[in-house]
Amino acid sequence: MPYSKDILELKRHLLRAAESSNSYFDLNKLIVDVRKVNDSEIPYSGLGARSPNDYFPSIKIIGSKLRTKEGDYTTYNNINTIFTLGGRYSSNIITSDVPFLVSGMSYGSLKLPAKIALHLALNRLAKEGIRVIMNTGEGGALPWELYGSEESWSDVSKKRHEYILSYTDRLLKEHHLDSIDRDNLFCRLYPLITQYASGRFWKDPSYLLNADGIEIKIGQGAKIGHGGLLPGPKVTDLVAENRGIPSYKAAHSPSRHLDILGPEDLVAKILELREITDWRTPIIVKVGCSRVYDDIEIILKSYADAASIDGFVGGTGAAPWELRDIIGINTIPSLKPSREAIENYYSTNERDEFRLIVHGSVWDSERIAKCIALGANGVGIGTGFLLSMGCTLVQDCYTNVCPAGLTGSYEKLDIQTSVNGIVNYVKGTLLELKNIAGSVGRKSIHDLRREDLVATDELTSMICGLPLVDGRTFKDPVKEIVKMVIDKRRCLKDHKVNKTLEDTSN
Amino acid sequence: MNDADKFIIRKAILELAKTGTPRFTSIDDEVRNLYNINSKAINLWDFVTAIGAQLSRPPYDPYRETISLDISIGRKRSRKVILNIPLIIYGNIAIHYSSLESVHVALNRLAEKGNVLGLISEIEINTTKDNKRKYPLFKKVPFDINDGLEDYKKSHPEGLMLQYKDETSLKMLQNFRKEFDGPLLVDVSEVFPLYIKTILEEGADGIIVDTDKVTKNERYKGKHAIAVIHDAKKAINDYYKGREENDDDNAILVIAGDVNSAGKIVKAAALGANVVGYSTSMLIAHSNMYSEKPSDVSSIADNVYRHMVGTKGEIKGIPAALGYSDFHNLSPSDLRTSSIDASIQGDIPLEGIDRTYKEMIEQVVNEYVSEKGIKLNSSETQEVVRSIVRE
Repeated sequence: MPYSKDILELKRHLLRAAESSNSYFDLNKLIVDVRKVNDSEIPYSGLGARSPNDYFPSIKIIGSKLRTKEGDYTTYNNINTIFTLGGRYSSNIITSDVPFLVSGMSYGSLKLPAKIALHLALNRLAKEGIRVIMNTGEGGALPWELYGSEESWSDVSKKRHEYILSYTDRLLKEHHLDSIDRDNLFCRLYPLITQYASGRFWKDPSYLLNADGIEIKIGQGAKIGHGGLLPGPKVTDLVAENRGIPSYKAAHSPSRHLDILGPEDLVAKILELREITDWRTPIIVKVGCSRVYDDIEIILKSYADAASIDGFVGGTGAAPWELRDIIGINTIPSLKPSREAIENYYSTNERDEFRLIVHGSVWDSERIAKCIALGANGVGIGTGFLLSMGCTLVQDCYTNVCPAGLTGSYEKLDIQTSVNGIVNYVKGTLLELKNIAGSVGRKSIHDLRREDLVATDELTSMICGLPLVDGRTFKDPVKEIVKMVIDKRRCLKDHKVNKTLEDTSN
Repeated sequence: MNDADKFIIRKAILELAKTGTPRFTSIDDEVRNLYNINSKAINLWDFVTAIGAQLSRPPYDPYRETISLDISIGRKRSRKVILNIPLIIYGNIAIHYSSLESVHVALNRLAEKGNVLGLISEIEINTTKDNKRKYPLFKKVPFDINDGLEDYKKSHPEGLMLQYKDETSLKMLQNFRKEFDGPLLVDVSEVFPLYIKTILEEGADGIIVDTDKVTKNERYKGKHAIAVIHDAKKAINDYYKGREENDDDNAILVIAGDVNSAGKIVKAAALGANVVGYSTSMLIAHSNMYSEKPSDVSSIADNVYRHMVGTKGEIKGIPAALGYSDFHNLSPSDLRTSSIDASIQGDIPLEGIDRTYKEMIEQVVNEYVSEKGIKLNSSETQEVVRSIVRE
């Protein structure tokens, strides 16, 4: 969003005024102030919250290595990294060759070339035997995502068929991508999860029926309790057409599903989706991390196949800046209560295929491994994929101006370079994951356990229930201090008693 | 992510995207090696977050539902003043007359649109028939005033604000209460945390605490605004302890100082503030004085107006996302922290375990004394806990 010269001048004065103030000011705060002064609107930001402590650096995997011998990365090639989703209530099971998936990033939030790059990269990886699950995000799906197989066309009317091809032509033409081979584009080899969010930005049942999985989005880490948001300037005619909403008007999804207000509504909704999909499709319920124990407990009892939790630092295309930075708890502290809710549930119920997927501040192999060791079955990555395509982290994703051409200024993005970046990122991360699991003596990435981890500080040990680096828990040093304090008190007490006795005898 | 971390993350992922081969060091190793989390320049506000509403408690929708921000100031027999936004323009920067003119115009415009907020000021604007004040003014009375209040009542302020300096201020407060029937706010920053009970007993309608000033006092040296707000609320709660509940007797807590953004307003409110003394808009207006090309009253008033409208939108959105339709329902139980220090200073539960650091230590103390067969009564246990957390 461009700002007038006056506003830039005002920002400079604000900085000067802030210097003379005793209060704590930071540059981000001043930017927020200046934006409000500019248009009286709530200032937005992209990407995830600024968390001064996300705990990941304070956890170490004992004896793990990202890299084995120089030039030979096949030492641990046989390590199992397969991740499955579904089978608890659904008849279908989604299989991924990696324990991470592409988190929901919609068309609208991302510009078309970035979405195409992700699509082509996941197809290339699938051809090489690495299937990676992609989540559409809440803004509907693109034609080639929904109609990427022969059978998906079987029930499509002629009129609808023509419309889909015409919409595709218009999409590609607007983005100067006419030359893309349609046959290659209309081929999806990776599993697709479509998001069922409070905005219901989809126009026909194919969105649910042609997906391999459905994710009911209750909330997301970046804007818990707020609902999705796509600012007006990003709702172009084609985005609006895809979502079935008016052009150039901000798309504010309701903060809650109007028909899911409590646990019983969630059960009803899932059963409705089960009926629609003939109990075939795995269903995931996604929540932002807040009262995680209670939320996971509800999801476990709701006919869902999996729960997805999104930590405080989880990214977004647009969120009110202050809301993004104040609401939610970090990913790592959410894992323990999530796992406890799951263990408590299965203490009285027979084990089944329930899965826990974790999102937010996870972008490399070590963080994935730490999440799995702490109880996650799989992780979602959004920002990591954007970074592999060249994201510069300026957080202006809510505008139509993106230095990397991902969320705006789409002409800057080179699709082929991005595809290569994504493919390398996935392959490299997979190799690192195998090395981590292999170097700590595990045969499968899913065999990583809490015992493989240590905490480097008291708070992380307390929150994760992990031992400290020296093998003790946070309680041990505290108990030593308790002993010292009590001993000191006793000495003082004895001294007092002796002094009283002396005084009495004198 | 941290601003400092993000470049490490970007560099590492770009390296992976370029080569596709495993790296030597992970992002976390690099972050850990480059700096220690504990040694970073930190502001405890950043370590405090609120827990949002999801499945177990549904959120409200600020775009489609009413979220109330209204607050009534005035106890028992005092005249009531209603603010539609729980903010009073008040800071430790002296208000220049030209800035005050702009604030006056902006506050009038806001009030016309149903967004009444207050102003605490020593000087006041010369109003004409066409330029009447439409917002509540809390006239600041100097602590050394010798004459009566007549001069201060001439401009018909809705409320008065007294700065409490020492025991002699008590006499003034008693006189003020006899002569003035509007809300009386008392700034206790210089004597904090003393005299709050006495001040409330003498009929003050609210207490003002400036966290910037208090944290410069010897007693609060090294402590954060979080500790000041926590203690101020505790002092007010202690005053009401054992008294009969009366809806018409709510002394308010106004927190000024280091609360200069919507996020901090919400955190301060959850810790116990009813109204926030907000000075950022003043900074914006004040910037007029620094400008090489001073803007006119109207354009600065526009700045203040737009800033306040944006801020209102923010402070409505956050309680809604926490599952409240009323801003004033926020409570300490809505907060979590990722810092031991913040947990100790503000009695805030740690994220993920939902218990304060003190409670965790108390549990360990109890475990230890039970293991060793030591007998400690509860006050002794508390003393041991306090000595460990160095409260």
